[in-house]
Amino acid sequence: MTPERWSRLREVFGAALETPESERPRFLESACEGDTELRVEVDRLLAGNQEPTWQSPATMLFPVAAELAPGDMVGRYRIEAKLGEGGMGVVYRSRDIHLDRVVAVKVLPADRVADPDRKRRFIQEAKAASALNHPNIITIHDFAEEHGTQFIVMEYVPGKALDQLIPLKGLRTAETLKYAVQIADALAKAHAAGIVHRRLEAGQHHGHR
Amino acid sequence: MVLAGMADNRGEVTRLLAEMALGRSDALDRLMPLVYQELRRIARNQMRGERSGHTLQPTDLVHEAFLRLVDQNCTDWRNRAQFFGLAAQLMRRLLVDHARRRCAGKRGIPVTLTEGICQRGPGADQSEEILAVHQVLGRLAELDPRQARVVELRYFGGLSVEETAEAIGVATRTVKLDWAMAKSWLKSQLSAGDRP
Repeated sequence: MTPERWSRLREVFGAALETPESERPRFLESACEGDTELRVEVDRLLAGNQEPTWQSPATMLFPVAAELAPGDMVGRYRIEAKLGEGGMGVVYRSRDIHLDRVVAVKVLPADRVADPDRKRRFIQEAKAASALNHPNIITIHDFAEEHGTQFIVMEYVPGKALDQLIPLKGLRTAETLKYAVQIADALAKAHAAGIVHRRLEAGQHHGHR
Repeated sequence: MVLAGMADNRGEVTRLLAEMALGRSDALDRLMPLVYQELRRIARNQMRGERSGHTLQPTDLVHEAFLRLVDQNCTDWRNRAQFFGLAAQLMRRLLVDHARRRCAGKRGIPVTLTEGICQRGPGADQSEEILAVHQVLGRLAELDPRQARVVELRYFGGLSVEETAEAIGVATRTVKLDWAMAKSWLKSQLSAGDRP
């Protein structure tokens, strides 16, 4: 493409953008003056322009920012302490300042927000979990987005994760069975609802005695 | 001493920017680490509860870095524009480096990394996009150098339309049209492979 051709393309494309969509075909017809190649190029540009905005990857350069510190506010939730980090995000013990209760807030880190697949799976996880109602499955209170950061607000379960409950010499059989039944029960409920966990590990199961 | 360190950098950055304006290319290489260091430091500080939101906008970081690094007493809009352009160039380099490492790892012998190690930096999909944009941008620069700069500032630097306009010294209207066209054109190039 020659520079002259390019600037002609820019001119027609710019004018087309300012023309209401209903009048565009007529406008392009006359603007391109039978130059089918130009018409094809302009149409291609116009089609590309319809796509959602293009996310700059620059936010991902500062992953150190993904951590929240105690006292930070996420929506109406005040971060109190980091509880853990999983495949999908970082979980913080937080306080809902409206209802004055403790909740767990899971945040999709800023460096992953720009990844549409991550974002989709994060939303999917919130939806899937909120569809379930079972004593052994954490209740989802809220799902929200603020300043481009998405977060899931969940029931806070005090106590330790299963991997921390298991002493060096192992759990007693009765206890092992108790936890196994709880987990299997919750998974059965999820499976019945068409949800596959895919990432079951001891660190994700909170035992309360 | 934090304050003394900052003051030193401030003088040096201002001087290096002036050198860069005179066309000394080694000034850029010396500026890059100073600016990057400052950007990271600001990013960390901003997480200390100063803001309610916590998605760090690169543009806020660049603004603050500029205020901290460049002596405001002997600066004018040209330095500002220069600084924004520099930050975008820096981010482009960093992103391309990240993406190269990411993609190289993918093609080599499969290595199992834990989530904790591989979560930093862009995801695999975006890494490919970053490299593709980086390559095709050279072609755009031949057709339309200004549009290529707009892409560098907006896509790699994460700057807003207004800041991009200021950095290049054109009207926001011009940037909007340049960005719309460049974006569509780049996308068509990326999806069409190596169509001339």
